[in-house]
Amino acid sequence: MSEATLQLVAGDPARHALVVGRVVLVLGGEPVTVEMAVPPDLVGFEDILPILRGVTDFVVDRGVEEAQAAGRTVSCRAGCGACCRQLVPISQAEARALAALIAAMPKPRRDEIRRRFDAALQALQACGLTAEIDAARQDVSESTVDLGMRYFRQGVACPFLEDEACSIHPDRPLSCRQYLVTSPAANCASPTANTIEMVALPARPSRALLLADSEDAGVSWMPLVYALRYVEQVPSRVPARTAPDILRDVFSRFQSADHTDRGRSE
Amino acid sequence: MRKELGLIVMGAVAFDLGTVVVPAQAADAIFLKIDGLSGESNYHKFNPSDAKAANSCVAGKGTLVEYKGDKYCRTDKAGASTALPSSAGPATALPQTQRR
Ligand code: SF4
Repeated sequence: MSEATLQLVAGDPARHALVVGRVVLVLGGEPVTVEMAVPPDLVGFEDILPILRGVTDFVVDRGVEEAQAAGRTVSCRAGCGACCRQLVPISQAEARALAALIAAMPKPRRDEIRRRFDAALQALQACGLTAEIDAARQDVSESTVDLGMRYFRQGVACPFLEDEACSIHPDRPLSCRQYLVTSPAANCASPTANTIEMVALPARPSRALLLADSEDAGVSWMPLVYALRYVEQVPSRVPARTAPDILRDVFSRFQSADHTDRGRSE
Repeated sequence: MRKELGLIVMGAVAFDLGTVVVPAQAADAIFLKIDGLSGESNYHKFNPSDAKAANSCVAGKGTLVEYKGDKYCRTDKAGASTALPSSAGPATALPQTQRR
């Protein structure tokens, strides 16, 4: 695979002179130079999301290429929204980005999306899942798989799902970007570890963001449907770090050994 | 998302975050979006004919996972299965942020 350079921009160059930085990610033994233009001032994690989206898309492209080279085909298509009934874990920064996206929508659409968020929360409350989710958010050492399955069985669709397609595709959370399967699409209606074959990715940017952002903000992960409620409760945070500082933090989490073959023996 | 930096700013690189070597990932076995969150899953490959290892996995609250013809014992919490090496600890688990 040839050496790649990724050029990504966060921020509006018309508003401020962006500063340029660089990191080299070694993914699957292959170096990728990421050149980034970011705002010079103090920012929130949400302000560097465009960089992480770009890196995630690159990582996913790599994973797909490798799956294809191994003779596997991605089954995910617009019109198949089974995985959009799963619990989508997001960081507080992603919650803020989604809330801002909704706030910028024209009124009828904004109201409709807000109504869907309310309906989803009510459905989770009615079946008692919010208490379980809140407990899981406090104790991240517990398995989330059972919770994820119970959530899925409730059939609560993501508020952004329309005609079984993502209506915010360019702005969707990192965990949505990373979720691609090569198993038959029909299997996604009742997922199990044995019937879902994921596209293996050379890195997990969503988790790096969650780790760094959670620690910084003191706010655990949350399901996507909590986003608006969370931002109503905590409307703003005072930016306290520079973009390079945040990016250094996030990229350092890419080195986490949690998803290596730790524990596997041949 | 991907824009040409050259159209925007150029000049000296203001910050260089160096090189980050990303270890090999075991994302294959994840089957729910939230499954990728905790980083607490461990995968221990075992010989399918080793009934003792399989029983030990289940007894230790592990899940038997088959992937590409191989069998794995997955545990979602360090030490939950006796089939796992004791060194598998939650060293880089998500922070217990509420305690900060
Ligand atoms: S944000 Fe989009 S991709 Fe993610 S769950 Fe919602 S509809 Fe699906």
